[in-house]
Amino acid sequence: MFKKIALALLVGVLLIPAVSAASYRFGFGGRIDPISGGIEFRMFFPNEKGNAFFVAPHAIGIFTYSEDDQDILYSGGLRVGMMFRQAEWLSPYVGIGGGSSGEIYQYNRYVNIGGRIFAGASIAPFQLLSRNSENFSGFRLDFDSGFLYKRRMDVIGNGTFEDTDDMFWFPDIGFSLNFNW
Amino acid sequence: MLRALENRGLVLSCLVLGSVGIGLAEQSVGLQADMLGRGIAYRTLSASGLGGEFIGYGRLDLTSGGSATYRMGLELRFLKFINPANKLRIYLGAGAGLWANQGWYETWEYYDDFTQELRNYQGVSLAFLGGADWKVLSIGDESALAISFELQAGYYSRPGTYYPYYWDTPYAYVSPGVGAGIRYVWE
Repeated sequence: MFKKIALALLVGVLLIPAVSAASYRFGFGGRIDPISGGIEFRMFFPNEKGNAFFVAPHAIGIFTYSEDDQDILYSGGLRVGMMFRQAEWLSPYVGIGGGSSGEIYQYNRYVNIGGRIFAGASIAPFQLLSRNSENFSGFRLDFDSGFLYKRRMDVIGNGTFEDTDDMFWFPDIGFSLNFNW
Repeated sequence: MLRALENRGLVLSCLVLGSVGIGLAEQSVGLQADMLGRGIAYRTLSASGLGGEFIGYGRLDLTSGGSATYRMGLELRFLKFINPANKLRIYLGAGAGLWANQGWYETWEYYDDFTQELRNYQGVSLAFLGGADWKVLSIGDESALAISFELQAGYYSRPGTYYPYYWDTPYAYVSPGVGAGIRYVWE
């Protein structure tokens, strides 16, 4: 176990110069769609054409505890895709994503899990309104829509009642608000 | 009969969109909501301003009990743009909307006596329409972001009103209507 941790740390340390030397871009903000939501961190890998491959994990959670019970609310997921013309005020993007959200309360579990295929537009309003606005030019609003699959699973009372739904939606909707640098 | 009508409608719409595509001058993709339908919209337009558009959506819910519910809708519109070269463009046209719904329908017999059944319904709506399509933001020389608003008049069919977990009965009416959309347009 110790060897694995040491190896992971070594790989991480070796990756730091590679990441810092490259012209990667980053983003941070909030994200919500019918599968999951939360605080999102985005990493962009630009290419020569001005497009950028992106990886964006997001998560949020609440844990409450008392002598009688405990309650966990969570939501998290990962999106990957391609954003086109990333330097412009309007940047189309496509991608796939997956995630889970739910609640674990005593012996009861309410869990959603699913995936999306989406296309959308990222808008930089301050970049559009004022070409000289450097401070807020990285502020972006993202809207996307596409095909969604979601499975809802309810397990109540230590497995005494179970219910599942498989849902397919077209179109669905997703929204992000973030700052990029 | 409705199924045959749907099939014929699909074939007809493919032919119309295909014929418009021969002289294709413009395409657009976006979101549209009006009283015939709603969802993702794809439109083609010829140089003369003759156009066709598909709008569709779908929801399917497969429950563990085996009683699947679904909603789906398809709208087909034929449009004639009067001034296709302008930024603010006026259009006239006609459209048809098809919907199919399988859900839990509740029927009341007395004030405290009701039944819930899994039922399947379909419906057709027909309307004339006219509106304005405005290219509000140009993106380069050949593409733009456009919004549209329109007025309609026609026969509208509805799957019923949805309450939490059930529907009441389908209904239809003749009335004026409205619609709005946002699209990414490119030449």
